[in-house]
Amino acid sequence: MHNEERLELLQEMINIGFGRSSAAIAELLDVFITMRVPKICEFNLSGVGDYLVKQIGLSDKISLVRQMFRGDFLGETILVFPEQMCSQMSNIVLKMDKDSSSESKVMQEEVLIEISNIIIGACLGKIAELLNTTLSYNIPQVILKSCPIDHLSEQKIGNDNHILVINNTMSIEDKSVSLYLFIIINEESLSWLYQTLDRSLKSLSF
Amino acid sequence: MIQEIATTDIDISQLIDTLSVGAIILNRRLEIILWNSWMVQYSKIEKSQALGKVITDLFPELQTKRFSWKINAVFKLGHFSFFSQEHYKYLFYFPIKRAIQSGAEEMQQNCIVSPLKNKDRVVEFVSISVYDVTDQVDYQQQLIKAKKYMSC
Repeated sequence: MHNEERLELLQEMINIGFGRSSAAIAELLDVFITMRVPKICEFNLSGVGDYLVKQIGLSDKISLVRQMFRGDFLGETILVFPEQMCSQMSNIVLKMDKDSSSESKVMQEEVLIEISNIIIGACLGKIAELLNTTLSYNIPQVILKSCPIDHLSEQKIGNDNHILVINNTMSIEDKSVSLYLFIIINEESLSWLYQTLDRSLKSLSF
Repeated sequence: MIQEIATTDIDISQLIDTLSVGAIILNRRLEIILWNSWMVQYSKIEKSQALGKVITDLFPELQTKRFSWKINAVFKLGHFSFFSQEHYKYLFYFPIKRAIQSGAEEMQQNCIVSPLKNKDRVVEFVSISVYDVTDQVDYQQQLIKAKKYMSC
């Protein structure tokens, strides 16, 4: 099977996950959220920086949330939040924070983590579920907060790793914003993923 | 052929009670249906006192919007949720007394809320695992102090 077909299948799986999640996210966060069909592409390490700069623009700042996952395939995910997204958080934070005395800076981080946790669950969780496997996750961490985009190159990513980039455009209260989810996995995990996708596609075809 | 442990008559709770991690299982009404020995040891709440009780009644400090939000999210989305030490310090207040006291006087915790699905893949229960990360936090703070001292 060609890589494009596999990515298309992954995209379809993620789309199912998003379909179920967006209503729930909206209800949980008490905001109106819609998510468009995600776009997915595979990159090698050197291509990712250029891709992001092209999409977001060099002048914008970003925040990164990292979460490790393990199971039949393992690796880490990095969710890239453009600055625009972070500023929209403040409304959501206010709604969530009524009974809390913690600083709003901590709360903002917390919401970034919560949103990325939900998005990662909708992507990876759904892929795992449809491929009949389970994954477990480490606690997500904010590893970069409102930094210029070129700081991304300072984050070390192993050379044998492949990166699946999922571009997800979501609208929060009428404003649309693009998030980028990196799924970083090594050769072994990628081939497990592709083999399992091939098998499941075979079983689907009549 | 090796028989899987779940199909034998060995009680798995023996394992759960030897873990050095807090393990709790809640049903949809937030009633406690599992409370392991680690939780008994640190909370001083016996199993018989905990089982069947609503967790927020037993720990009124958990009656926050965020706690119910997160538990709800796990039931609804079937995905994990987290209370990290970095943001919460701890979920359950367990005072600690150590011979050499440094840093926090309450146990610092990372907590993971996981979905437990039934055969139809519906989330029927959630589990909360409580990890004691007090030592880790101590070392981290010592490291930060040392770094500051060196750069002076």
